[in-house]
Formats: sequence, C-alpha cells, structure tokens
Amino acid sequence: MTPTDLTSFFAMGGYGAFIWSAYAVVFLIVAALTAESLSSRARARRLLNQLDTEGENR
Amino acid sequence: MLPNAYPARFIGLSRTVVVWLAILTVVALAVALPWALWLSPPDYQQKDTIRIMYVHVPSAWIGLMAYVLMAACALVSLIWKKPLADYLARAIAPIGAVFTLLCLVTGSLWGRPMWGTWWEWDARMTSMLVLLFLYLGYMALSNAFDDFTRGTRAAALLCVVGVINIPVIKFSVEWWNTLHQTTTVFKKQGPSMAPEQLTALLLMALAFHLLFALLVLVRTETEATNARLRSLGALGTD
Repeated sequence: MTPTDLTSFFAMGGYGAFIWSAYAVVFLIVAALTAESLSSRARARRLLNQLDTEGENR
Repeated sequence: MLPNAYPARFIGLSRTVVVWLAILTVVALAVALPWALWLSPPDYQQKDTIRIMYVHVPSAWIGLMAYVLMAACALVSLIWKKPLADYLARAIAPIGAVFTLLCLVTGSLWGRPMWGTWWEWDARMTSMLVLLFLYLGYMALSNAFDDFTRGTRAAALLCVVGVINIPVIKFSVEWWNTLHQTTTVFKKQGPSMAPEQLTALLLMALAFHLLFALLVLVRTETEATNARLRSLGALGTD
C-alpha cells in the first residue's frame, strides 16, 4: 500500500469519522466487557479456593 | 441451597470449550475485519458507511437472540427451578445489554451521515431501546432483593413477559412506516445485497456469536461460583 492508498483507506470516502468511531466504540466496550467477565471469574475462583483450603486446614 | 446447585460437570466442560471459543473468535475476527473494512466494496447508496452495518447488524442479532435465550432460561428456572438456568440467565443479561447498546450507538453513528439524524423515535429504534431497558430492568431486579432466589424469580418473570417485545422489534419495520429499512438478509427471495457485502456481514456475525458464547460460559461459571460462595456464607446472604 502506498501512502495515498492508506490515506484514502482511513478517509473511507469522507465518512471515516463515523466508521472508525463505530468500530472503536464496539472494540472498547467489547474489550471492557471481556476484561470484566474474566476478572470477575478469577475473583470468584480465588475466593472459592481460599474457602476450600481453609476448610481442609480446619 | 441444594447440594447439586454447583454444576461441576457443566463448568468443567465449559472451561475447555472457552479456550477453543477464544481461538475461534480470534481467527474469525482476523478473517472478518479485512472483509468488513477493505475487501468488500462500498455500497452504491450508503457508500463506505455500509461498513458500520457489519458491526451494527450482528450486534442487533445478538441483542435479540440473547434475549430469547435468556427468556428460555428464565422460563426453565421458573418451572423446574434449575439453578443452572438461573446462572445462565443472569450471565446473559449484561452481555445482551452491551450488544443492544452497541447496536443503538453504531446505528446512531450511521444515521447521522445517512439520514441526517442521530436518533428518531421510530418503531424499530424505540422497540430496540425498550429491549435495552428490559435487560437493565432484569439486572436491577435480580439484584434488588437480599434473598437471591426471590430476586432471580422476580427478574425471570419480567424477562419472560418482556419476550412480547421481540416480535415487535422484528416486525416493527413492516407494521409501521419506519425510517429504518426493512429486512435485507432473511428474505424469501434471498438476501438483497452484494455477495462480498454479505460475506463481510456473515463473517462478522460469526465472530460476534463465538464471542457471545465465550462470554456466556465465562459469566455462567462466575454466577455458579458466586452462588456456591453465598451458600458457604462467604458472599452476602442467600
């Protein structure tokens, strides 16, 4: 790709601002949801493991 | 809580499936994105803004499909009191809400250049906004009671009743004179769009569905684990 090709690719026929905003919003929100899903699962697993270990030690 | 409330076999299986879904989602996205942003041609009317459709339409499909799935789980939980159905419904709600929100936002970003407006109170958009509120209502209600089971039951009832909104969304573009265009893909005569555009759309839809399945399984494990923690007295009251 030449620089001109790249510029026209990002310009998206003049609608670049709308198109890239749409993709950015989708990416950011989906990434946030995925991160939150994984961290909540990790926290729940950790708590359950802690309880199981405490139960064995008692 | 019942001793079998923690679905150990389901969780064990889902952990393996999640790894595969993660790989497949990445592969599907790697193929779909070049098609959506570059390989597919601009539309003769919408020009390049049709590329917004490749994230807008799959978001809408997920928003609708997730609600039907959630309502089915809610119904199973109301009738047969299966804990796993509760966990699934509670796991699906925030995911469905997020994709419905994305559908509204990307639709708005398309509507501004194409219709000249960010928002219009037409039947399709209004019913889609109602869908978002149903998801949020379910989430609020399911966490509104100290008694976990009561909250889940109340929310499940709201969810099942809310299914009436799904056909309203689907047929809104036919029943009312909407600004939103009518069905393009699921038509008797076949989809009315160029094959390259359909390829981009279906590849993106595949990636979105894989990601949806992954998120549901991850969040279901969290719900099941949290329920187990509650029954052990480690998380609030049950």
